Order: sequence, then C-alpha cells, then structure tokens
Amino acid sequence: MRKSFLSGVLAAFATAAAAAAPLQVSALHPLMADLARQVGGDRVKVVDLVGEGGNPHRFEPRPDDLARMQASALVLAAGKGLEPYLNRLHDSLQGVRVVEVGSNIPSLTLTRDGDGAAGTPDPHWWHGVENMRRAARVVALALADKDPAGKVDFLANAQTYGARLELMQRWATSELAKVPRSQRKLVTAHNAFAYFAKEFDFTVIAVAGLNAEQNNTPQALAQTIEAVKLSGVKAIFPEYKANAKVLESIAAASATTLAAPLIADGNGSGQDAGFEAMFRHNVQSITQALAAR
Amino acid sequence: MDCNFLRSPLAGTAGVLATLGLLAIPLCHLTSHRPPPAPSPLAPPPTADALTSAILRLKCLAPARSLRLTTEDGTILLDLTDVAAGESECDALLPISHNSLEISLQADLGTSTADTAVFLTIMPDARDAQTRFVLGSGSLSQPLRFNWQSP
Repeated sequence: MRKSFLSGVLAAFATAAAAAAPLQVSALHPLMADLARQVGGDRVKVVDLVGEGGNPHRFEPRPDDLARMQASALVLAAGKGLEPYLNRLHDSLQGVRVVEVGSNIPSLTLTRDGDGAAGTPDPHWWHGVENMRRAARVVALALADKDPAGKVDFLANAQTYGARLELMQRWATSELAKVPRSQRKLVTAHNAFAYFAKEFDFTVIAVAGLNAEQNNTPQALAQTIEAVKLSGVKAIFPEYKANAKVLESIAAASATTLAAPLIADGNGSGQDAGFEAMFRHNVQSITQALAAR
Repeated sequence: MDCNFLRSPLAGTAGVLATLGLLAIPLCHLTSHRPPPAPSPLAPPPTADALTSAILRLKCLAPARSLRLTTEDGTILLDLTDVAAGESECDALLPISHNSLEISLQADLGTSTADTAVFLTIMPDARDAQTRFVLGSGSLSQPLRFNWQSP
C-alpha cells in the first residue's frame, strides 16, 4: 500500500512538472527575444538565435538554428522585410508558427534613393516606444495561442511592461526637450531612426541606407557632407560596434563633433542589452550631443 | 471492488491526482492575485470588408460606475460597469470608413463634482495610434472622431 502511494505521488509530480514546462520560443532579433522574456516571464524559455550583441541584418539561420526553431512552439521575427529568408523559413518549419511581430505596426517608407530600398517599408519599427507597446500585446496573444492557460499572465505582463515604457517615453520627451529645434536632426550611420524621429520630432540624415554595410559612393558622401553642413547640426552619430571611419570623415569635412555611438539594431551588450537599455542609451547620447548648453 | 486493484500503483496515482484536482480549484482562487482580466468587447456584427482589427486602450483617471463605447451605427464595442481607475486594453473590430471613425463614449463618473478624464487610444492594424479624451464629471456622453491617412 505504501509503495503504491509513493508511486502515485511521484507520478503526480512528474505530470505536474511536465505540465508546467516553459514554452520554448525562438527569436530572430535580440529585441524580439527581449519582448518574449518581458511578456512571457517564467512561462517561456527564450532562444535568442541572433544572440546578445548580434546584428539581425547579417543573421542567416544555420542548420542548428533551424533545429532549435523546429523544437520551439513559436518563432518571433521582427518582420517588415528585415529577415529576407522568412518565406524559406515558413516552408522549412513544420507546425511551428512564425510570427512577424511588426507586421501590423504602421510602416514608414524608406525614401533614400540609390540603395534599391526606396519605397519599401522601413524595418526599424522597434525605435518607436508606442510600437514596442503594441508589439508587447502581439507577443502576449501569440504566446497565449500556444499556452492558453498563461493568457492572463501574458497580458498582465504586457500591460506592466507597457506602463514602464510609457514612463520611459515621458522621460525621453522631457530629456529631448532640451534639444533646440535647430538641432533636432540625427545624422546617423545608417537609416535606422525614422520611427524614433517621427515619435520625438526629429529629422534624419542617414549616411548609409538600410544597412550599415551598404557602400557609399564618393558622390553620395559628398552630398551627405553638404547636407550636414546645411543642416547646421553640431554633432553626428556613429553606430555601436560599427566602423566609424566614414562618419569620422564626414565630421571632419563638416566641422561637426562625432558623438557617442547609437545602438541601431538592438545589438547592445551587457548593460546596453534589451530595448529599455538601448532606448535610454540612445536618448542620453542624443541629448548630451545636441542639447543647448 | 478487488482489493488488489486498490493496492495497485494505478489506483494510488488516480487517488493522488483526484485529491490534487479537488484542491486546485479553491487554491487557484486563493493564490491568484492577478487583476481581473480585461473585459471582452462586444464584437460588432461582421460586415464584409468593413472591419479593421484594432487594439483599444482605455485609461480612466478615476473610477467610473459605467462606461460604454458605441460606433456610429449604434453597435456596442465595450460595455463596462464598476470600472477601476487605470489602464486596460482589449481587441476590437472597427468599422473604419474612408480612414475615419466616430466612436461615442458614454461614462457615468459618479457623484463627485471634481473633473476627471477618460482617454481612449485606438491602434488599428497598419495605422498610427490616436488618442482622444473626454473631460468632466457626472454623466458624460461625447462623440470622439478619429482620422487617419491611407495606410
């Protein structure tokens, strides 16, 4: 009798442990991984395939990444064309839902000519705080679809995260108010900050196009230098972990200061990892460089 | 019943699971400290190609006895009672026509004469978020108009 009771208790615990196993979620972007952690909490195990500090523009899934995605309940992509391999991924993964988190977020259109991307959606939607609030709900509902018992938790977490983002948005508005109108121009390494610029009333002069690795012709660089001089802006922004040589040349030619780098693609490391850290870092860099003294 | 069956591991497992199951129901209610779930909106009747999926975010600076959102044709989007101060979100299908939408907000803010505000943010798919608010006390009824550029 005692043996059968003990067996029953052990079996019950095994069943309970299996039922509480976290949902495995793979992410194709460090900030989608961050969203999954914020919203999923203990109910999810997040596999960040790009990795902290990795560049989602350069990521291409390898066979072991495909295996990890196949073992996941969900794959989160940023969407809006950032991941050109997504169609192939949909075909390759059997029974695994791929969620393009940014698909229903209103798009800005790339306008820069000469890089072949003009007229396509700008994929850097994560630079809008309001966009990230919307994305949190998208992720919550996607997780709930796979773990219905967790729906209340996921939505509550998304709401808590959203409240934190709202406070951060107010802080940013207050900080960036120190930048005078004449200086509300972001000269950046690549064309990644349009959503930020729209939300916080800046304009963007991007040196490179969609991707920091895109080459610039001498003519394009000359045009950029001229645009920077005409703008009257006092500082330009290189990019975190990117070669700043081109911007150094522009700064020298236009008599502007090279400011602290901005994190463009969620590829911060350590204390700069994740959306909130990236956003605070960028706001502080911009304010320090452009605020009236 | 056969005594051997009662001594079997299967019977033991079944007994333990049944006990845990009976305990789980009251324990779940006792241990849960989550806020009440966001109310489910009343979906408008489907009309072919006329409805846009959206997130609605409601923010009440003070509690409201009741709060109702209706579209121009009288369809009830949200019908709440005993609304706590704070923010909540829900999904809705909205009849956005020619990039415009009018929603009527009716609220009973109770007997306090102090003015308070109710904010409604609408985030339709592929369209920017827009926020409108009503300000006042007592019973309020106000149309809120939203306009978007073509997506």
